[in-house]
Amino acid sequence: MKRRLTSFDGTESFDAECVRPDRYRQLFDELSSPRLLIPRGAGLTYCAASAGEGVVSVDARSFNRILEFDPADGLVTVEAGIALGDLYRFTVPRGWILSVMPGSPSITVGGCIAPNIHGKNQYKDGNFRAVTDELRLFHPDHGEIVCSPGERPDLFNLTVGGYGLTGFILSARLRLQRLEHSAFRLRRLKVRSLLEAAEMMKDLADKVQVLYSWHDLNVAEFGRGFVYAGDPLEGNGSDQELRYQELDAETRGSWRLPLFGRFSTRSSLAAYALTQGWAGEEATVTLSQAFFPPVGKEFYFKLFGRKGLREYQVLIPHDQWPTAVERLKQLIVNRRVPITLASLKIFRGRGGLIDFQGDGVCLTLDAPEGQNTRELFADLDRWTEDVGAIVNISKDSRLQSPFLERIFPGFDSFRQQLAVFDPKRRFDSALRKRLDV
Amino acid sequence: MSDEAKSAVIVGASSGVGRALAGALAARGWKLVLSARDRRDLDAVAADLNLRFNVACEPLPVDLSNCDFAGETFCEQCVSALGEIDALFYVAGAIDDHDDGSTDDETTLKLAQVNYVSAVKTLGAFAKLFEQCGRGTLVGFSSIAAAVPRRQNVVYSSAKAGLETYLRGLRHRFADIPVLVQGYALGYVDTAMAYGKKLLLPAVSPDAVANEVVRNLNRDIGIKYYPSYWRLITLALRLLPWFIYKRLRF
Repeated sequence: MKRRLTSFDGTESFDAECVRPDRYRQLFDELSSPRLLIPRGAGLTYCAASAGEGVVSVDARSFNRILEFDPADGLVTVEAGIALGDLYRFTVPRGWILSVMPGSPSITVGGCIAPNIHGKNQYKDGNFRAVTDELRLFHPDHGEIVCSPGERPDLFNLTVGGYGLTGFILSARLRLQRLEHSAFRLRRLKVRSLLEAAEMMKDLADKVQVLYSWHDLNVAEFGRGFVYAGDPLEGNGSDQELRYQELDAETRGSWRLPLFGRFSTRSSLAAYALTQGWAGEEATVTLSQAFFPPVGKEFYFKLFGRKGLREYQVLIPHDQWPTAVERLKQLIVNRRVPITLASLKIFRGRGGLIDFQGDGVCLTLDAPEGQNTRELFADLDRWTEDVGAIVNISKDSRLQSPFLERIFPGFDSFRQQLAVFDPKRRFDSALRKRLDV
Repeated sequence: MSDEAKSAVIVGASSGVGRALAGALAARGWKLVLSARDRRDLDAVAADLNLRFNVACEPLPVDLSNCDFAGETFCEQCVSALGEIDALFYVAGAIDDHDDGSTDDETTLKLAQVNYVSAVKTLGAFAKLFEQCGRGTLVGFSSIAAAVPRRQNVVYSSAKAGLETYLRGLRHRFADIPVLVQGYALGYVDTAMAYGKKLLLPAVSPDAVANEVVRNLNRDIGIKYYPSYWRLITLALRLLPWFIYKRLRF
């Protein structure tokens, strides 16, 4: 069927052909057709990674079953269309949890593998690759292939963080973390700047399980905000049941008009800061609140209206951070763009190919879609290059291949490996065309 | 809610309403035989339900489009897997995009076989079993298409109408003993059958259908329309004069 598919940020739309197989026979028929294909999960990637002009989006969400569970070693094998929230409901009562989860429980496991997402404390837990033990992949020219860090590691590394371009993930074996608590002590630590926050977070990174920050960049005291640090709280009774609103690009853009302007952003962020200040320095939160902080706040995305939002996520090396913050302040003040969200995380590790991984400070910025925002983000691209940073490809619908080739040492290798594995470009998307891989 | 020690056979359990029904019953502790054409789908559903709800689920692949399909043999296989059986749900169905009344023999046979002949063979075999046991529930799934046939589903709607008539007859036969015979005439359901089609009204989820079926398990409901507003709609459509009905494109 033809459907209008929109990237989650609302900036790209396509009249795409969509199929939703619900049996393997039907799935393999679709995947073996001569048409261009791309797997699709919940469609929550900010850019159009699971849709494109002339591409058939294969909805994976009927393939959402749990196939194996080893309660002794904490290994679970699932079909890739399972939503994280569904998996959470299965593993948590059994004393296990997936330690690397993005904020939305609607995201599918395939949707975590494709951009190699990170969770609430990348420094401690790594990216999704760190919890992925083995994949079963289907590509019409190669059939079913099993790959893992030990078996066909090149294909495994190309697939985790490969944006669905290596084929349809039939199943994934994931490594869970033992869960010995059902609540967190969430400390809310007030900071006056981004620099202060990053220093504090570097100290806390290996000591806590959940670590992120929130900042207001629209005020004179640039970067004031809070660092959120969550420690497990033992013996705190049972977790509340996880309930969440299904989120997708269509419902995100259901409000026609944007409500984030300069004044409304300043006032709403000031009000948020006030409520956080009043809430005190410490709170007990449930496991689900700690792992899925945006749950219950989905309206935030709707406030951008149909026009959408832009997100910039960048990983800045520690030694460049102080200089980077100074320049960031100048750029934001000059462009007068309302920054609706600014947040930090601490990262470490070596990223492969085009992964968003490395040693440094991860900064996330949201702003309403518009000319000023695009100009600011173009400035930020130059700033990123100057400070030797990398950006998160899955978060930004503007990024073009020449820029990415310059900032990712592995970009060319990604392109070459993909060309060898899928020379006919059977798997395609708007993202692939934009990246020119 | 738990109905421990109850057991059921679901034919057409690999997707859509059948799969949702398997989930709803497994969540209540029912032991299940899950049947459909492909083992790979059945294995996945069975593993999932077994892990989530700790219930025994036995996959039993069967090709309902095959003329040699034997209802009694299938019934015996189910009895050896489950022992006592409390309910049979025949959810399987087949459609064809070119079912305009001039399909080739092979397609016609397949549609008639899956939607009617194999349904009757299966329901008949289990009817005999339940009669011997003196209890049991037989559930068949029809469609609103049975009441208001259209040019796009000529063989399908006639087969479903036949199935409905069969269920009515069977219900009459078992009127005096505690064997329940239920039928559902389903409206639009969000399954592969409806996906991508332009629908006049919203499709209900397979889970909603499954919950309704479980809710009615011990009730003598006869043939029930679900969602219930379809009873009124189909009645209104049947009352339309032919010169209007023939112009409808739905």
